[in-house]
Amino acid sequence: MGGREAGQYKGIIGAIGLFMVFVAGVFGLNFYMAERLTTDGGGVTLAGEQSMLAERLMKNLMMLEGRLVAGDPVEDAQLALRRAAGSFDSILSAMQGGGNATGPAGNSVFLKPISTFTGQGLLQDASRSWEIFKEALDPVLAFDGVVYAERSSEFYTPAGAEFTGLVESAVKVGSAQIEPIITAMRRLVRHLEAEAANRVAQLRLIQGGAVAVALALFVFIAVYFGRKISREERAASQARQETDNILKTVSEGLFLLDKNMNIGSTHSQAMERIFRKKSFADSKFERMLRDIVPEKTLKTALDFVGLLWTDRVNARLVKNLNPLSEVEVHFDDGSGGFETQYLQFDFNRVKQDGKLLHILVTVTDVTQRVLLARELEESQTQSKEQLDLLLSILHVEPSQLLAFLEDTDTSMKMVNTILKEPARDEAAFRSKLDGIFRQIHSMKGEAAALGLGTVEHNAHEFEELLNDMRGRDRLNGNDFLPLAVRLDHLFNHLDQVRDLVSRLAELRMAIQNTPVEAARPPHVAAVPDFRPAGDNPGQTANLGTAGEVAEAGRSVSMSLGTSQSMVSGGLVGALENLVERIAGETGKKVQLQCKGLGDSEIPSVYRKAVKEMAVQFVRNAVIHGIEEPAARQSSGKPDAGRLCIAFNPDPNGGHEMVIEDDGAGLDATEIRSKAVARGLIGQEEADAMDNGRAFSLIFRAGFSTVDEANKDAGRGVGLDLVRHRVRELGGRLRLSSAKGRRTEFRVTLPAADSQADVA
Amino acid sequence: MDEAQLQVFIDGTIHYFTQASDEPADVGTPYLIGEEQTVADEYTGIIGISGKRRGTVYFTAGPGLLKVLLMSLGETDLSHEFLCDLVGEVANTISGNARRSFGSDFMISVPLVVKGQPERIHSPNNLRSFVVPINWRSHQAALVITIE
Repeated sequence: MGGREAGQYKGIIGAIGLFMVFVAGVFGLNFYMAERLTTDGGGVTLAGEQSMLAERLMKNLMMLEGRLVAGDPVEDAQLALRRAAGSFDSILSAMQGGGNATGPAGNSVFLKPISTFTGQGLLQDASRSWEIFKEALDPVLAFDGVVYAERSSEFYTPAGAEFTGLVESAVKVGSAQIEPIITAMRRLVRHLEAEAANRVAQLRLIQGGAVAVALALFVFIAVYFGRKISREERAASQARQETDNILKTVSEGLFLLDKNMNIGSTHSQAMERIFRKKSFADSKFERMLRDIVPEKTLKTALDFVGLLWTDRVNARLVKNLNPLSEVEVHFDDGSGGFETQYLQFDFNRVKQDGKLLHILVTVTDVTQRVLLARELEESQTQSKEQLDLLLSILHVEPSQLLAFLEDTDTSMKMVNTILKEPARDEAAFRSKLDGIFRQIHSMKGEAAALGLGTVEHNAHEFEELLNDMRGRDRLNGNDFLPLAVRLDHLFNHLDQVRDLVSRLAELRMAIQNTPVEAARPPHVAAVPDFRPAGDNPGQTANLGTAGEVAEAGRSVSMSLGTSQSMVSGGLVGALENLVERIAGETGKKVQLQCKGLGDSEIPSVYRKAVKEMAVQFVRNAVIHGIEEPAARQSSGKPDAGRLCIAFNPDPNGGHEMVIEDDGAGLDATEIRSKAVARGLIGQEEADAMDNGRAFSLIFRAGFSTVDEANKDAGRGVGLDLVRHRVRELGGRLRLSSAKGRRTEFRVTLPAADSQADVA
Repeated sequence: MDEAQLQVFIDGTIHYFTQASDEPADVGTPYLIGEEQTVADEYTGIIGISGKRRGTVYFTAGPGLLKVLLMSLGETDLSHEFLCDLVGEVANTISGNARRSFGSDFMISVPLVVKGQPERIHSPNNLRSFVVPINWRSHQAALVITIE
């Protein structure tokens, strides 16, 4: 029982204690009175026996006298007389002064003196008479001589004659005194009986009073404390109800922990929701946490709570160390997964009289707060990346961007399809590698053409991985794991670009719908491009509707009509950007001339391939073909190289794409040498190869004349990609080159109608 | 999730086949599937990952592979229950391997075995899954990893 409860019941315990003391007192008094009554009873009995003793004494004396007259033996009569006289005397003395007395039967009894005034008076009366009688009696009792003479002439001896005289005298005295003695003793008996009756009456009175008082006390205790307990019970019940209501309503989990980390029997109802279980009875704190937090967190948490039980540790100081101040917990969702929540545990010491009794634990579900904070943090982290991304896409014409996004999505899906294709041997793995290389290289080229640096960078890193794999002696499926991871990164990055494009489109729509727009004068463009002023080269045109852009931004699976709205100006612009960037980075000057790359001039089925090939040819020409200005001057050429791309219909209904530059041309010897160095052909094969076949080596996967690859060249993928596209479209590819003067690629494509089904 | 972490699950799977039979399994080229897609065969053992990273990993195989694997373990009872137990055991091995490698910062659930096409395998939203084809003898299985 706690201290508070002891105080609460102190009154009732005191009252019951007093009651018990009272009852014990009554019992004690009763016992005393009963003892007195017993003593009194003894006194009455002995007083009654004294009168009988007196009579017997007298009777024995007279019997002795008779014997003396008759000449009979007197010894037994004298003995009886002695006994009676001794007993009477000792009892009388004990009645007066207290002490042991010899009863008539020879037994010893202890008597308390009779203390009443009347009793003492009667005893004195009896004593006076007895003293007179005793004086006469004592010589009789003391005689021990021979009574009868031996000769018949004399009946008594002289002593016997004297004894006879003493007896006769004693009889006379006794006859005179016995009556007052008997009277006094009888009166004493009556007096003592009256005294005893009086005590009995007193005892009854006391017992009656005690019972009455006991009953009164009982009634008082029952009523007073009954009411008090009832009041306290009502208050306690109300407090319990209020506590229950609080525990049912509060949104935090509340419970107590004891020193052994046992969870208390009472807890808030929110616990069941927070911890997804009904019962916490006989549960340990460790058990509660073990299933929902990692082992490391569990151990730290238990150590922390253990620390709180140490009195010398300042709770406020260690609060900052609480490992559960915001802890991620995981509930088994029953389907092989986890449901993650964030909980905040607060620990407070519960003390009474300075002694630590419990730790109050408050558990708050802070999942929403944590997720919001995390989202905010992530968005802040991403904001810089998104700003860079935004800046890189702002200058790109939306239609070009959307077409690029769709193309890249297709390319990445193609990469994934290639990865998915079953393969268990080296050739299959190598084939996969080449296929993926072409897709990624195409994507990188287009990204570079559009100036999408982040995409180009991601694609370049992808190529680094591919290049590394190409250099390995043997490949297995597991080697492709980094590619899958990189592909996932690339998907995520392009998702970000799409998201940004979508948001820009929405912004554009919002601007369109503003009243300011409505009030704009008719000669002002209604829909501003989101590119910076002056970034539009002039040859770009229609952006498409805002709705188309928004929709396309959300998903690349838009209809062909919208997605392929990439205009020729867009392609030309992209090529110009690409040429300008690569020429700038390599210190070259290039004049690009485009012909037939208009929107209506390229059949839709060829647009993607023409774009891909044009990008690869342009990169190839600027990097490998056009010389630096100094080299050109020494060759008698103008500083700026000339690069022409023409896409024209041919007389057979098909189309021809011609790419020509006035650069350094191809060096068959160098090509042979590089092909041998890269392991594409053997030395003997190289030696036997004519210039035409040597030139065809530049279309082989992995061939490059650049020793160190960079983001623009060196992988030997670009022309391999061109070769595959031409083959896919059923076209032909021809190459002519004059060392030091020119290079020309000529792609012949069949009639577009024959590709309709393919498209 | 980086390659090293993905590799832990792959190694756990390969390790099981190495221990259970005299013929090791080899890995096909991993690829991606979208969040709404699943690659589930008839028997699937799923484990949940939580802690520093969250997600789901499951091993899925058809009865053909599992029966041959059971036989190579010397088991003659090829009943449905034994196939379920086996796929759960593979998942358990993957789980144990991950526990050893990732340490106490991760929580890994007890494997759940699903027979037939699971309706939906709970995994974090907006995440693609890595599908790692597992080739063993002439049979194919797959390890699917979806982790943040």
